[in-house]
Amino acid sequence: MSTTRTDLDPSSDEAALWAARLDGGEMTDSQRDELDAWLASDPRRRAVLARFCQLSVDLDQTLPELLAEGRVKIPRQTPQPRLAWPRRWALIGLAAAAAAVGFAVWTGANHAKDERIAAEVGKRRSFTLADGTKVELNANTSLLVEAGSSERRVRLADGEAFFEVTKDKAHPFVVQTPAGSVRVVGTKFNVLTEASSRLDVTVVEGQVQVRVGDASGEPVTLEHGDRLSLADGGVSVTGLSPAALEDSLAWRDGWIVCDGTPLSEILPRAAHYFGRSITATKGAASVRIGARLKLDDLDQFLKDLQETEKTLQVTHDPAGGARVSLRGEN
Amino acid sequence: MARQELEILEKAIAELPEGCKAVLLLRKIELLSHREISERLGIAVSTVEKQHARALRLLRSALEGRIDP
Repeated sequence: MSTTRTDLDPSSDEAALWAARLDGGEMTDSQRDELDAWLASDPRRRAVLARFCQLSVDLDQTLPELLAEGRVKIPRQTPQPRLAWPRRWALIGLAAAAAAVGFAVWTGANHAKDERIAAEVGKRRSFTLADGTKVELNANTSLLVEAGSSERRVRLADGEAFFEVTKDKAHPFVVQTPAGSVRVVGTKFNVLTEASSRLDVTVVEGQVQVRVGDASGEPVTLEHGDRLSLADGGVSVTGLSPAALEDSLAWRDGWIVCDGTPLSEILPRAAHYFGRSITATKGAASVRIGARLKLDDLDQFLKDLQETEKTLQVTHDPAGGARVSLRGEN
Repeated sequence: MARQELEILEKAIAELPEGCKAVLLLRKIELLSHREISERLGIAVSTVEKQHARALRLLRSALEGRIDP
């Protein structure tokens, strides 16, 4: 490993440091000037930096996946003492849902500790936090409940969750995602996020404020039936009809509702749910589906898909993934 | 990422020095900023930056080592 070209390239150490700062730092103006000067002094540096930044973005997506599959373990840390959340905002766990039941115990402002709740691949789980807030996690999703803040703060890195937040004006509830944050007092809403590239917030009841990007962004206020979508860098807000609102939350009962939805939008959701690679050929990707598809079982899901749209065929690969193509397509 | 790359990544993460690994996971899984990580671990922000950068270098070397043996 020590003989790779990365190690032979002297600008690589500096590039890694700038990539780290760009990802996790709050860069000052003078640091930005320093970075510009560093880039300007050698035209090759931009490409080296870009490769580290690409790795960093890849890790945003793959690390939560590896964690969800138990392939990466979080090392034990000694948390610094911090201000505790109100005692009743402790995680006491558990409520039955359609799928498995989550359970986690954490009590005591004196031993405030962050707590992770998660739903594994192919399962949905629901939890009740000790302030009474109900959280439903879609499959392959993990949520960090932060201790030690005057706010009720949770972090959602990659996945989907539905929240029914108990009203508490003194302690706002904040969902932090890589693409922005959602702040509420008491309401029902849904959050879907995929690293920093995608964020969907749908409001069922009450009012929420969404900040896209970092904390400096202007908040957008959403009300009942509103959906904010961030995709490819653009933000849009649309009002959903009652039926569309219900359809968008069908995952809570294990369904994907497609209403002329292209396969290219459906398959990534199913792939995340089952933790498998499910791809479409170019020809199949644009096929539009109008059906309710059950997400209990991958094989059944693929069978239902072919049943609904007879032009499609599915081939399985040895790694457990699937590829959807048009019949007769090479 | 392809399955083979994921396997390399999994192994490389397991082999990261403890400090590097803690910083990387706090950043990528718990989404803490460098400042927040420094407060959590009780180390300087500059140390957090260096460990984060080292983690990126080691993981990139591991992933590229496969392509350029």
